[in-house]
Amino acid sequence: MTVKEYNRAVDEYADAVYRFIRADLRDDDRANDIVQDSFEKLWNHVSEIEYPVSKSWLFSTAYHTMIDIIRKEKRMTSLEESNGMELLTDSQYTDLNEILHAALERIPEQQRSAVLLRDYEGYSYREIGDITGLSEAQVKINIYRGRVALKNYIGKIETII
Amino acid sequence: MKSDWTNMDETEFIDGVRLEPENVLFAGKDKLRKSAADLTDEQIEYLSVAFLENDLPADQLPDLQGNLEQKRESRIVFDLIQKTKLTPPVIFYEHKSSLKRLTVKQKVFRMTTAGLSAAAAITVLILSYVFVPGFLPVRNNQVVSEIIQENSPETLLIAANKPIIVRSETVSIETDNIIPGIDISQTAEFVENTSMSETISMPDPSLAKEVITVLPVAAVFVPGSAGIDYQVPQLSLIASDNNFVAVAYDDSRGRVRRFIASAFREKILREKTYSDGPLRPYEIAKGSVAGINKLLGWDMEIKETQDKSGEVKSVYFSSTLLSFNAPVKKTDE
Repeated sequence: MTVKEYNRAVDEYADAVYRFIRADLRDDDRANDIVQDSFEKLWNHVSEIEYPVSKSWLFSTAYHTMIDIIRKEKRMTSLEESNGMELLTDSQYTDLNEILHAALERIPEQQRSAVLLRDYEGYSYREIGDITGLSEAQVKINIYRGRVALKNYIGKIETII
Repeated sequence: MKSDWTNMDETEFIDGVRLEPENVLFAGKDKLRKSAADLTDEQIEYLSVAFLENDLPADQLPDLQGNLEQKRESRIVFDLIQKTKLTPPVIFYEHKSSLKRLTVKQKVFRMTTAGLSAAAAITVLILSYVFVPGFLPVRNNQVVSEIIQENSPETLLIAANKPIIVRSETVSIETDNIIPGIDISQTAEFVENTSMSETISMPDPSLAKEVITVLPVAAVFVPGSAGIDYQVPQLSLIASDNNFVAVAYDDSRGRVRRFIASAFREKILREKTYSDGPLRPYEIAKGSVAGINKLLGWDMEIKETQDKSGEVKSVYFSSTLLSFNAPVKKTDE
């Protein structure tokens, strides 16, 4: 990848990586740090990485950096530990998308990332698997479980409303 | 050979042994049959997610549709799952410029520009120091006794670059007691240096000369008709010896020039209190150095040092390549 292509990657992918990490972590500063870190790593490998794969490389790097941070902070939510979809009854939601993003915080990390990569970037199961290090089947089941969890959440909200 | 014959016999024997299935039918088949309406909630969820992900096989679509047509609960589940599609928020990464890298051409261009800018700033500084009179004012707050030449009839005062307000009063004084050679009428004016917030009143005009020769331009008694042959700004009174150099402050400057001067001081020099007076070359050089430092991350410095009276003693310039400290020449010494 040339310097010009690297700068093109900055223009085209920085927003997407930032959105993905920010939605996952719900932390602007951390997301900012991770984006910078990911592009720094891309720059360090600029001669080895071809431009066409730079997007998935960036997402993969950002994802694993985020996972490392989450693990360090012991914020990883396992399926067993998940306390389900408790409603935020004191929250004031303005639209469905906001409700969904609030619900995202309450589903396990792998499900959340899979759904975000699928919806935000339109990645295929295989591409998501490449980014997250999971098999296609695992990605598929994560997306399914994540969607059902979101469905249950907004179902409860609609019931309340 | 014997062994081969034995194997053949066994094979023929096995071929003749076959179990025939009994002709029995399962009577409860109909009970096992399912329709689309029998799909469980979990299956509906799975099919609905597959539909949302555009991953539903074509032959399963009729089953899903059939179920949704017959079961209202399934329709609700299906609709809810279709709503779980996330829409990315419209946010952008604000620090893209910090991630970008310069190409070789851009690096060369930037270095060239920076080098030329630095050279221009230093050149302006040096040329200003060498050729522009008053670039580094050395006549501030001169003691009056150093300026006034008592034998010069046109001599009056004052070297001070701060606002001067004339407070008019009428006093009666005797000419001989002030400055020899000056014909003073019956009216006079007190000049007050407001920056020092001090007014010297002279109840006894005979003390005026003494006060003038001792105090450094705090206040000076000025005869009203001293015959000054020099055009002075309104509400100020300035006189000097023959070497007096008028401060080049033109009140008639346009608004644009005043605005540029004040904006330069406010935005570039970051002065908390700033005037719209003419920009000094030193200020321009200081702004240039600051701009280059910010642009390239360099650490150049330009600084003027002053003595206790606020008089500029020297100008100090420092960079990784060059450092010098230029003392200021006092032109009237």
